Amino acid sequence: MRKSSPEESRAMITKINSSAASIRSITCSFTQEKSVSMLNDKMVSRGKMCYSSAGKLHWEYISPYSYVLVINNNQVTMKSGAKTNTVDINSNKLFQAIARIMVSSVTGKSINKSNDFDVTMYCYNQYWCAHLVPKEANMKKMFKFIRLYYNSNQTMVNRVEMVEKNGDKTVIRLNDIVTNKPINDAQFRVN
Amino acid sequence: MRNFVLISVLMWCAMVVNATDCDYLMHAQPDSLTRYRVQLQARNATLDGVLAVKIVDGNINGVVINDFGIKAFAFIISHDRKKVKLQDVMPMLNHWYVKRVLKSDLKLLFNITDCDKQPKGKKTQIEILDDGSIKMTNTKYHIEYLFTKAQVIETQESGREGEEIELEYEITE
Repeated sequence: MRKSSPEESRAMITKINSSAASIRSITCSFTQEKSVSMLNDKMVSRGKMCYSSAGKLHWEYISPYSYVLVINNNQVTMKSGAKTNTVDINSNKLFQAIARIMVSSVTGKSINKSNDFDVTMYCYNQYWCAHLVPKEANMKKMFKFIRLYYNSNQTMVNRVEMVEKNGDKTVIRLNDIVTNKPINDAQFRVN
Repeated sequence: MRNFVLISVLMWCAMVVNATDCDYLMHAQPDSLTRYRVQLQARNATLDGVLAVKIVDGNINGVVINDFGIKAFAFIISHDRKKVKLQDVMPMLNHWYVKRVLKSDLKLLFNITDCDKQPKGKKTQIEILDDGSIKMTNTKYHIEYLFTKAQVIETQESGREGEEIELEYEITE
């Protein structure tokens, strides 16, 4: 990928922002790959996700184990096997910070957060990449950079790379992305 | 003669005790990752995620990642399970008093064996639940940990993402 010119970058960001603003919902499957240098290993998980612009998120792992996390009305509910646990997102700064990074990354809204990140755009044919370097102190301590990859035809994020200070990397690939399809509200409830 | 018999009996008893195998409840292997679901609840924080451990160079290396794959902290436990070193602690947890408690609780956790009737820590209660989960409560700092061995679900690898796409994504400055 090559670094985009300032004009190209502006055009790309405008197109991405306009697409992100029109998103009311996203449904997709995902593959999450975590490389941890001190384990000399990769952890691969698969699952599915639903997002609604009302701030609701359903994040479900299907393999290697079953686990559901739902954010709805400032409540985070986690279900593992028969166990369900609900916490108030406002009383949990740790979770709040992480959820904010994730949601703004998968929806592509991180590139709008100029107070949080320095953004550089890259391109290669129909592939675009936003290279985000954190500015905020805590984010800087956690991440060297975050990269959001887009397919310019969809202007939707299809891959998120989060590289930590020590080089450990989390790659989330979003597949079978469907936008603005009505999502049954039951998806955002855990039974 | 009586002393000889007494010493023999004591030696036999000692051999029987030594022969009883006590297994650590927290396992790690050298060739693959062992994963546990982890729930950590403190006063103002909840951390849900995965603890992955593996034996590397004789030590137990572990990492706790949250539900979205972001690392909360990593640790190395020496081969004799006596020393714990924390590293890559996320900023919200990176305070000396938090790290001190985490280190001490991790050391305790990795030293529990199935022979332990009582917890080894003075201020920590350990309970083995019916499903085999380990519940550890630090009563001094009101921290509750729950470790459940992850039930791995076998799925077929999709193989969607190949090397070609990886190469396309290489960035040249």
